[in-house]
Amino acid sequence: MTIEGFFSDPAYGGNRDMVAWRMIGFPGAYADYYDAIDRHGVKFEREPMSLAEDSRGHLHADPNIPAHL
Amino acid sequence: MTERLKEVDVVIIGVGMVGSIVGKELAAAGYKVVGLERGQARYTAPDFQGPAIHDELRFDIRKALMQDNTREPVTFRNHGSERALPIRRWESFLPGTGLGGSMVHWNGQTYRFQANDFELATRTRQRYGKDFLDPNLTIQDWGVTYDELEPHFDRFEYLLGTSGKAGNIKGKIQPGGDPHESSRSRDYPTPPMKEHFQGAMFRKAATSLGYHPFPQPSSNLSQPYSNPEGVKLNACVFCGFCERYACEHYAKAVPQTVILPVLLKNPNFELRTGCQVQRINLDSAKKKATGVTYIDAAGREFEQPASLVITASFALNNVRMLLLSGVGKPYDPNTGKGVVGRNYAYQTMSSVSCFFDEDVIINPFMASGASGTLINDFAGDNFDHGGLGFIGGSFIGAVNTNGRPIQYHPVPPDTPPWGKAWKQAVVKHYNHTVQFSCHGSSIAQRQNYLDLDPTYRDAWGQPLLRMTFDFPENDLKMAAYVTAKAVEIGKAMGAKQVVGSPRKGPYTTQQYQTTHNTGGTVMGNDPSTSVVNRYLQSWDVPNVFVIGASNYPQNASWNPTGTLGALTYWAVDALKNKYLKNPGRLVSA
Repeated sequence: MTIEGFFSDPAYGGNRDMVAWRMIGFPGAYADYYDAIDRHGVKFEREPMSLAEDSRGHLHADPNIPAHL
Repeated sequence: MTERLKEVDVVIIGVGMVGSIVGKELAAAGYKVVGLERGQARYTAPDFQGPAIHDELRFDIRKALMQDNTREPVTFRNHGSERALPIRRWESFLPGTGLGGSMVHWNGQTYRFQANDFELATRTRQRYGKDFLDPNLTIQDWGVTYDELEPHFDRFEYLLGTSGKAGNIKGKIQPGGDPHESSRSRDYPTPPMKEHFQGAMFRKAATSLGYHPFPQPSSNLSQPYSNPEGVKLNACVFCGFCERYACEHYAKAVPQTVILPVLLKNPNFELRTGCQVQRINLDSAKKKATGVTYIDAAGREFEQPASLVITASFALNNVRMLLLSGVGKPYDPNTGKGVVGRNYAYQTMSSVSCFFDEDVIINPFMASGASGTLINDFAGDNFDHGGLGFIGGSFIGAVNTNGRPIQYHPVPPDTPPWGKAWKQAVVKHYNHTVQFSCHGSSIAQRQNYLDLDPTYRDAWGQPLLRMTFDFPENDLKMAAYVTAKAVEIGKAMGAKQVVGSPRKGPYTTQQYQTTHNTGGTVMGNDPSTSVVNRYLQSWDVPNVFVIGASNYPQNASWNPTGTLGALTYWAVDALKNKYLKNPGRLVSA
């Protein structure tokens, strides 16, 4: 249960600022590694992404929902 | 008050991959077909879209796509002397629900069983002598051969667009493919997927030991593809959210992406969702099905008369439907008599963890459901079992499918289970570990079976299915042998620490293994040891056909879906060209 809270998406209230994901290097809810999959052994350096962000560049209708938690 | 509906030609119970294929073929042949699906209708857009679909807590942990086990669980016990209890949280296996069935959340690993598997009892006795087998093991032939199924394997792979490399085309061994595979008529429809780092490391190490690595056949496609039904799929982008998820990219071959668009346009087919079939109705002599009774989502009860009933639900649910309906004699493990529920088998899963230094960057989160590399050198009967004391085997592969961290955070066995030292170990190993899967066969034995639970009932008041299962000694010996071979590959890869975890008993439902539940409505040529004949027709009620992995007399070393697709097209062929032209028994009992 603690592990679920620690590693689940920040949208659920834990893993603040994706700290658990940063710690281990899990990038979160990205949808596409097609160009990276066969670059073997290269570290993935981009910021992690939460479900609460929209990976397709759409903005949330409610301006009070921040892009980054 | 039951409302009696207008009679149709065919009613199909469950609209997953099997139900979609059968429905499409029979509707196209002019028959009026009703498909009854207990779950909801769902489609790639809007239901499977990101980023919401990439939610590990919701899909992996809370099992959003699975059969609702608050309403319809399975009860479980290891042995007949124990009291079975309901599984209220799926862990070991994950039956799906809803349009498209369990295949919606599959990984796309698309194998063919080998010629040996379909004649396992005969060939094992031929090769090792008739006393080689423990008499407690109830293995048997399928009643159909690989050669008979080959055109249907081919058709299924071309429906899905499976990406792979043939190893044996018309008897000729092909470089880069699996040299152990049984002869196929042509190559896969699309080339193999890109290989991930773990696969490349495994390939090199396995080759150095003299084994024969090949790319995992994948129905997450390597390139865009139009199938023979005219439906188009995209290339997989390795998002790492495959098994337990639905694919947002139209890249995973599931009913929604390969056949439902065609089926649902045919006016001869009617899909009804939210319909929980209660039973197949039989005439007073119990020799003929008259249709089915179901309850819809509003709680209304209907009788749907039909000339032909096809159960096409998940293996466990096929078995339960026959037991609830009185089709076929239930199996009794004490006498060995009866057939429904007999020869329940599973999969014997072992694993190996290879821990590397921190300069080896693995990126486990970049993965498709089936982009690994594996060997079949220790699968099936591809190696000599003389003197080993077991039959069967496993494929061994670096078939990593994800790095989702609630589920995946490998640590060496001496790590404490919580606290600072645990956290440090997770950080240290998450991105620097390669895991192998040893995907093992499962042999049927007399005391493993399925029946109706005497105590627990579902939300509609019907008895639950009861599973009695533990690993046969044969399979634990196999797991120990193959896992030791896999450990050698890990060492050849240069890992700092290699930890083998051969499967050990007792079987537990609290740890994920696979959703490859098989048996219970076994096919065969002898009505005293099979529920359906070689065309998947019930011996007892000839206008009932049962199609599912429940037909497997025992389970082989590979994921079962490819073989189930071939059996489905095999049965469709018999339905269209034999049964429906002249309804009656296709094989005399």
